[in-house]
Amino acid sequence: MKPELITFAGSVDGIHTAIQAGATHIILDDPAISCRSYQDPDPRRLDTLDQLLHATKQYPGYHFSVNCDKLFHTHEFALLDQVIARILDSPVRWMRVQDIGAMAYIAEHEPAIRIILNTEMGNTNAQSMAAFAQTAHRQVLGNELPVSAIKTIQKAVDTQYELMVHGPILLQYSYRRYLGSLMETERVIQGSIDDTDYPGRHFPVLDNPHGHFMFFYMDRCLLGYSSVVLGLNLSGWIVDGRGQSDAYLTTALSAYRHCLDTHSTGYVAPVQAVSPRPLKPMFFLVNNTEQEREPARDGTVLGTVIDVIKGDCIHISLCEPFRGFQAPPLLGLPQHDRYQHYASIPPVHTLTGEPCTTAEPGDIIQLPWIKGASPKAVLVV
Amino acid sequence: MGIPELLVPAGNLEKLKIALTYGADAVYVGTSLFGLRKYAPNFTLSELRHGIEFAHQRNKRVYIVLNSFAHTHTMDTLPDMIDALAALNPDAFIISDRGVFELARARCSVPLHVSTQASVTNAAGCAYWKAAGAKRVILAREVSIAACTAILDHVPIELEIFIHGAMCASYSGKCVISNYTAARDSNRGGCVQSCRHRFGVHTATATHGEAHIMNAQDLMGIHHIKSIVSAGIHSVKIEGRMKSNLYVAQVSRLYRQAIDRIVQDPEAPCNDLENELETVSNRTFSDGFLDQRQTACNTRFTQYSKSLHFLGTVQALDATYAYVHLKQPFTTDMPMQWITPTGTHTAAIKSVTNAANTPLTAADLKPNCLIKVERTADIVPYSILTQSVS
Repeated sequence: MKPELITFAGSVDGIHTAIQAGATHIILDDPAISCRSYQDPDPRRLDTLDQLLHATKQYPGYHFSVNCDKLFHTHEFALLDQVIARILDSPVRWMRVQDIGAMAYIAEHEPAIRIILNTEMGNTNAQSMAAFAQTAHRQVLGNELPVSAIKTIQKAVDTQYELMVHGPILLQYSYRRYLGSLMETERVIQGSIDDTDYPGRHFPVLDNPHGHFMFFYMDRCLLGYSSVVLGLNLSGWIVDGRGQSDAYLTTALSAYRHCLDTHSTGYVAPVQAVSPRPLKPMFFLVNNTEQEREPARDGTVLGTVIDVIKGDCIHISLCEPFRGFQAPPLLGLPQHDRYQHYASIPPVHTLTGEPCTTAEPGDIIQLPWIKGASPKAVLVV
Repeated sequence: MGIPELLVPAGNLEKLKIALTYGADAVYVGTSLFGLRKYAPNFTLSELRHGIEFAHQRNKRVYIVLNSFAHTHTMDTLPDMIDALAALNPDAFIISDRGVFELARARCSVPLHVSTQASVTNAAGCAYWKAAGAKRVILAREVSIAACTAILDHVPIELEIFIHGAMCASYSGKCVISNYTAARDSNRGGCVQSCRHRFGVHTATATHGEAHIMNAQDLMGIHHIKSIVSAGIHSVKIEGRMKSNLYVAQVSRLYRQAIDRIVQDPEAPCNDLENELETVSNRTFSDGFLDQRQTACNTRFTQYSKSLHFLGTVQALDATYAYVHLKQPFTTDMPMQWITPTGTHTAAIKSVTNAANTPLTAADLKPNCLIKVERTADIVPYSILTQSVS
């Protein structure tokens, strides 16, 4: 089945524009409940949602979902009730949530509503998705998942998946209003920040009543890998054009529409031409962000040198129990490949100078000084 | 009226013992895998076993942090690890990942606490995790004490909140800045805290200068203990597994005093304890979200504030001497103090030798050396040597 081409619309005109450009599933975006909305919330609350839900009747055959992805605090559940009531009065039956509590609440109170879970971050393994699939009907795959991980998850968990193929990379969701407080306004602020430690990186930021949102200085674009994405047989491809011009959204949607219709790889250049930021696949190809800091050593590390008295003794803080040496130990030096060997089994004393045959983790033992010994070297047996 | 548990970070075995000696009811500790402090020393299994025995002998508790958001390929190592950790008889696992939670629940009977990384902000979220098998939920730092009361009205579950320490700029767990800017996974122990940098701020119409716009002040909730006790919050947590021994000792001792004082007399002032907390390195303090939503932070941040230098920790005592593991050299031109579980005592250091009894001068003192100083009656194991900031 062909994936839905999904995008956001915060106005009736936006729905029309998105559908004209090839979208088949529109996410209805009311600033009162959509945390990353670029519109000021309507003081009458949910009026935008009312208009959008009403407009969906003009587009039979298209899919619609209501974006409700703010993190809810307990006192805000009355608002969630209002959203649910409005949805039940419309033909729309899909809701998108980020908040696990909101997901559970909707599932318990209105089983007729189908839930799309988009946690944005922190739902990155098959076991997690399997657990959430008991409540959510569809899940949005995280931007940090490479294609290999997506395939593994799909094999393990049979549910519907969406993927953001194009759009800004959300780096941060804060409940504070950093820019709003700096500029003393409660209105929505759109801007950028650049890290003075790394000049030239301009991170887009959005600051609205829901909080502060920081994005990467490059946007995600999988047009060049659309044949790979097609092979994943996803339920939906998301093109996020929020905060961008109609020309940008239309160009991007049309490009992905073409890929879906012709089963071909797309061209990045036309979209890049209207994009304010570089377009890259990001972690879709590979994610090496979990690197171990230190390689494992051969042997058991008994402890770490904390003090060296040159020509006399060294002191070692134990991380393993000491029960005597069966063979001469080694000192693994902070430079990882280097070791110093004791020529024979050395005498061991406590910190206060008594002979020591056993000691526990956390104790400090004293060994004779050995050439090369330095703090942070490790005692290996 | 229940007495909230005082839960203190322990980045290594020494800090575990310090925390429990100075007044903590429980500590949370990490291993090198599946924790969010990959760059802290963390614990070996032997250290954990020893630490848990140390705690249980004192009728105190140890919670093991497994709060990374795991990727599928790393889940393969998890069952064996959970089995090995469960065999140590910890008092809980702290977990944020739904998949890790499910695995732990299926494999062991260790109580499960939902980490603040899971960003639980409401009663429905607590109910969800309770139904999944959680004993306790550690709420997002953005939840106020009043909101905790509302949650407890809906869901009978143990709640834990942060009361002291550093604050994330974001909802904890809702941040991947380090992933993209430093290729280190924020949610798998690699956070580089880029949010604390200085940023230039620009909008379409203007440039607004440079500021530490996301550098959140530290949390200090000592004045909210009365409300916390009234709300029935089960546990108050202190942040800082990578902080110094001095920090661990002071927060354990001072919050222990504050809780005990408030339980005895809810109107008792804690200003003296607040003043002492301010002596330890901090980014200046705020109430965080304990009272109400906080929107801003200390944009004019220039440096950490403190009035005490941490010099070292007593590792052993004999009849005459205290053996101090020095972290920072010192001269004797500024007043020095011993911090002990019972309070602060003047330190009069007349002579210093190394462990081989060779006299040392100020020039000989180096970070990470062991020194011997004359023992006085105040000094006990894990006493902390400090010096006033000039």
